[in-house]
Amino acid sequence: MKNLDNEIWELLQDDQFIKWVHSPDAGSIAYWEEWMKQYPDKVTTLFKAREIARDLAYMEKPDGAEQLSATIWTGVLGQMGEETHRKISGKAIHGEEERAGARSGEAIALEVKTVRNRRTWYAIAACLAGLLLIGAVFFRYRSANRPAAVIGAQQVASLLGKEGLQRTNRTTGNQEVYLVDGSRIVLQPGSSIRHAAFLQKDRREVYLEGNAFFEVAKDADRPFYVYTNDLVVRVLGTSFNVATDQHNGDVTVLVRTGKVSVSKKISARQELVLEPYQQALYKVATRDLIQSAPVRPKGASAIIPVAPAIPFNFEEAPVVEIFKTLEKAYGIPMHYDDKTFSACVVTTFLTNETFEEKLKIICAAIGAAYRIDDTGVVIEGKPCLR
Amino acid sequence: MPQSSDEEALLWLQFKNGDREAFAAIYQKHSISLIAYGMKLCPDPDLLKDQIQELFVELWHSRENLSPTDSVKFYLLKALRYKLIRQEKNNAARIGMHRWSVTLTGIHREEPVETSLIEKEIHESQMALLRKAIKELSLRQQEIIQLRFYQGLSNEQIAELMNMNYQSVSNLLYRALCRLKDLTRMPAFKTLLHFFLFA
Repeated sequence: MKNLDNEIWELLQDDQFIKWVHSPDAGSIAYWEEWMKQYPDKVTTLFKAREIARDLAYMEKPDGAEQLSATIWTGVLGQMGEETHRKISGKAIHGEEERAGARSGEAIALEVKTVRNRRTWYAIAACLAGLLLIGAVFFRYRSANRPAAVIGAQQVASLLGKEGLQRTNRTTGNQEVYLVDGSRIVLQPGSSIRHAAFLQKDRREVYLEGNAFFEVAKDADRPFYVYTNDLVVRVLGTSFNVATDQHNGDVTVLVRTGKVSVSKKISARQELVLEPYQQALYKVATRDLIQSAPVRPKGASAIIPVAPAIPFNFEEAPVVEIFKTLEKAYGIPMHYDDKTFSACVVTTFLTNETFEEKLKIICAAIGAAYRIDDTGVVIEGKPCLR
Repeated sequence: MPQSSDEEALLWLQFKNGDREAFAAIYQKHSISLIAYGMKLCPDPDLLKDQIQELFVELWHSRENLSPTDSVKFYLLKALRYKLIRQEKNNAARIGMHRWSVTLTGIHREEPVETSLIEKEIHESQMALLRKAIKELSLRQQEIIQLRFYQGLSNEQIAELMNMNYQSVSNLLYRALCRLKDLTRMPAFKTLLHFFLFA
């Protein structure tokens, strides 16, 4: 009897089984027919499991959903209106940003340094690009949970030296890295950034070599500066892309959300303030900083690089694994005793917190304490009880 | 019941090209799923209504820039989740998943295939037990049960949607099912089950 029960619950965890119950196709039907032929004594179990699966599904059907659905659709139709003026209704939480419906200009054929959706990332990358566009256009602040691609380890080469942290993308795909304030940067292959590991000064500064997309966490007290060889990009909280032409070194800055100011390092007098979809071009040969034609939203999305997200949600994960994930994401070495924490398991869902907030949460969960010194983060505590 | 992924992909492309009917068809197909899932993440029906409405308006207005997809439902679930979580953050509320009591309606019920009165009774008592048991699960466990059984997602898709790694999802599902198994285990029920299976 007990075995029977267990078989049922095993089936419920089988993806193949779920497919057959929920949305059977030729393949799954054939598979289970074959299975039933092979295990005739388990057929009853199979159908019992199916019944439970259906019951579980049935219970999720919401009350009054049809009514709600119809009401929603009426609202949607009402706002689908005209194409030319894409203003979001005042009810929206994201308020301020008005889409540049009035901006004209042809799609600029920029030298797109970004790595377009690599098909090796299944369709996940494609969906991410779509989401990123929606997210970046309609929301001012940095995005939260990203769907994570199920891909193997990323290698972030990072060095914690006296000048701070240097992080280089040595892989062939884009890489997502985080700063301790919560800012997120997508580094393209071969590009690197250099910054003080803990961004302690009254300003946040990052030196960039190559191409990267920045999503800067809002911190009004500490403006964010990105330096390339010759340029200074200053932001408060926004998202923008910086691209360096490999051949002539020209740098293009394209703003997705918010506002940035771009100026030459040598002379702060000439300062360009850019708004969404606007871009600046710095020509190395002539040392000219000009505002080039704005990009149409369509063109803009092509320039924003997509990277596999770092999953910050953990369900009963060994805390050592969480430390490793943090180390990879932030580039800051974590020092802890493997053995001490080997039995510690944590369930937590981290998102927009700063690095230190994440540390606090995790340490609280395992009853440990952290301290930061010039070697990185040191975690100390007692072993967890099983 | 579901369309093939080719048809889905085509419908999506038509929508991207500005075909209002295709857009309406997409909405028709997926609105209930979205409402069901949305309720798990957003307890306030008025707020949920606004969010879903906004989502579709946004989709319509940015349709040219959306990537092609052959799994529209998954795309929409992700978009909605993303949106609802952002909404929570912007309201400076912590992401607490709130309880939403799911009640049964008599409409659209798939009639269970039962041949005898006893079977019917057994099934109904089982359903009642399950219904009660689900409410005892944590909200994340409830979410995964819905995603898996109602929305029909695979573990991999759930991992992507909830931004967890695959192993965490398996663990979560396993614990949710274990909990349900324990909660639905009653001597009387077992006897009936025994009877049902071996009669």
